[in-house]
Amino acid sequence: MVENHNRVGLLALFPPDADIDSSRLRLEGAGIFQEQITLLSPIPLAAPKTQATPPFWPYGITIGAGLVGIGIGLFFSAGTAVLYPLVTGGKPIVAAPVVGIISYETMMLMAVVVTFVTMIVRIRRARDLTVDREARIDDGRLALSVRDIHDDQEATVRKILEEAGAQDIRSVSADLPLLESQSPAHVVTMLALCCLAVAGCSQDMQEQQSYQSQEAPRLHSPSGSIPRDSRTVISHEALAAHRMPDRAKELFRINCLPCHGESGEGTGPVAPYLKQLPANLRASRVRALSSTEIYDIITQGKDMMPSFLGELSADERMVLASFVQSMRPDSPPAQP
Amino acid sequence: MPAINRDLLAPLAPGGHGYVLLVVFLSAIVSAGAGAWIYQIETGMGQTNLHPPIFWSAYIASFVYWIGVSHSGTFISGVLRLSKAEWRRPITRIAELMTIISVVIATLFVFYHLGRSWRWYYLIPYPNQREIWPDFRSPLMWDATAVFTYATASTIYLYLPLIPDFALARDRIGGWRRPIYAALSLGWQGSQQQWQALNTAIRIITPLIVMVMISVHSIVGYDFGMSLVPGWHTSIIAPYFVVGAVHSGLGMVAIGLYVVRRTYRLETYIRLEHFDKLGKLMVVMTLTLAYLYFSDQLTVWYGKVPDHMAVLHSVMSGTFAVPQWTMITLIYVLPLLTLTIPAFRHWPLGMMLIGLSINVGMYIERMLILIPPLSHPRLSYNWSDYFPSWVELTIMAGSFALAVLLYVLAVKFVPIISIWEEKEGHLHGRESQ
Repeated sequence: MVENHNRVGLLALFPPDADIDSSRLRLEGAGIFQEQITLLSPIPLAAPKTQATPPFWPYGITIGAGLVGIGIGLFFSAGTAVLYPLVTGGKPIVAAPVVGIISYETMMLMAVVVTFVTMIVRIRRARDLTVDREARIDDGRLALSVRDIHDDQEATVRKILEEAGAQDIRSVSADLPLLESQSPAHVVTMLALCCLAVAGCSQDMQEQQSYQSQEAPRLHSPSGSIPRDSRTVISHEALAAHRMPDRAKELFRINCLPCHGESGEGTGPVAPYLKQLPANLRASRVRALSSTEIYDIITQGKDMMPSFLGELSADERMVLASFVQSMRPDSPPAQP
Repeated sequence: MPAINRDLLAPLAPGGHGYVLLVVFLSAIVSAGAGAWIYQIETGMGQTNLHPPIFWSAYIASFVYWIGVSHSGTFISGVLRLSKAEWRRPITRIAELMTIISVVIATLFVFYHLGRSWRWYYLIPYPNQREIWPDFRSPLMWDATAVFTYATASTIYLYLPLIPDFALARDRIGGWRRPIYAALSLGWQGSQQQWQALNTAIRIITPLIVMVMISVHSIVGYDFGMSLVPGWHTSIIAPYFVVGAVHSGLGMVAIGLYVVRRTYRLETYIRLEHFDKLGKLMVVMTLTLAYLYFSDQLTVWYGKVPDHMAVLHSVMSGTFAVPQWTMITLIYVLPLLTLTIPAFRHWPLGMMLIGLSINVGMYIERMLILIPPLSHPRLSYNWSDYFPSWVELTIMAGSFALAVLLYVLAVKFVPIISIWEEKEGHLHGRESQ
């Protein structure tokens, strides 16, 4: 290009019925490129006859985005169904109508959003930073901006514009500072970054496996937790001594009472419905067992009695064994 | 054109005492609704009158109603833009604003209904430690997807024709709004490339949004139609929902047109011709809806399936007869009796009243879609009845006030008539004469 010449821009206002097309041609005749000319109007104008048909590519982008959207729909409704196979209502895991409906929506979503974003990019790109917004065009004028012209061309251009009926011609500095020194994009980016901080408000801790209020009694300790004491480390006696009998009673009431009854005589509320009567824990046969043997029965079950291995921790079973052993053989077995 | 600028930017000027009073009044009702919602969250869903076997009621009915109203903008603006109807120009913005506000209100109702509303994100499919994954075979997931698509698309659809108007407002309105207008107008200058980009986008998105609109209310209909509940399980439910939605939407547009025209003295822009055209459209919708409703009920009546007849009887002559016949009067009889008279269509106040009648009727109709079938399950041992509790009623009133409040506030920020499209129409009109 040329040496650092003084380059200027001109902005001319025209009445709405001005013949812009012919003045455009004349400007081109005077050596001004089409790219240097911008026509500003308050409403969309019919395309000049010289212009070719509008390009197909915006439609292509929309169609492409729609196809990607179909892919997203397929991924979510079919892909995840395969990964998380939930059998419900007799429908196949991957159901074609469902995939169709979801893909339809995601297709539309992607097509609309991508078209919109493309339009934003095009509008921002088409923005000519050396042309200030000419507010008067909204009163129905047309504005023709010719920019980046040599100062020796300026007089010619002015003359052409005046002959075309321009009402007001003003020069615009070619290297005008950017319209907005702080573009809204910065503000948006900052806001988006601030929004990221919201992630800090995550309440994942409340999802942990600790016991929550109103939660049903837990039968298993969370997987991976380490027992703090077991029967290999602490003696039965020491354990029995420092456990509160209240706890043992409570465990007995929850786990044993339904069959063995409140007093342990085998007369619990469920007992009449059982094929085989529950043992009387106060009978001499039971009294003869050591607490370890009782522990094993609780752990593995016996005859009709189920195993409590999954229901109670080693600790709890041991407390119960001690409790059963401590029952006094005072009354004769009850016969329902 | 200077006159158009002046007239259509005038509503953006700060409001007077009446405006402030209206905002305060609406805010009070909104606060009452918010209070009721907080109370419901604190004390649980027992505050609603939901009980077995009625687990969907006022909130879901309101959701359906508001999604329906949101069809106003898309239908008016989308379909009329597609058909290049000139009379759409002053109406589109009024209707599109309704669309986006009512989608917001409808979404709120989903949250009221959720109970533990802070768990709403369970609907979003993303890998999580809860090992929970939404089941896409459920119509409720289709609904969530569709409403999200619709909300996004209609926001974009409202925004597109606003860009040149925001640029105009940026140049003419100072104060705190200026930087916002500047950011929203995307550096709009009115160059031909920009116009071309905008028009291409509008041309592409318009048919898409009409298709999304039809799918959204169809899917809301599927929420019911996919179940085997007598009264819901019908194949006609999707078109019936869509047409019903457009019916209430057009009614709402009639109300909006009347109020905006009267408040801002826009008689030169919103002319009697517009009410006339809208009235004709409403007649078409009333007849279509009546036709679909009749076909559906006739099939049920002729079939005489006992489970279905129980619902039909309760509606036609039983517990729900009073709301049912009120509804039929409000949405079918009154509109047909009045809107078919040409002189009536040129009477804005009358059009507004018919819009009101249709909307009250459609609200009742949404309730009647939900409650009679749910209260008559196939096993008759727990047949039941329902009326909303005070918490539900307060939340519904608060949400309605919120919709009006958002509209009243939006009118002060968004030019209520699309200025450049109005200018374009002005020019077209001059050329065709």
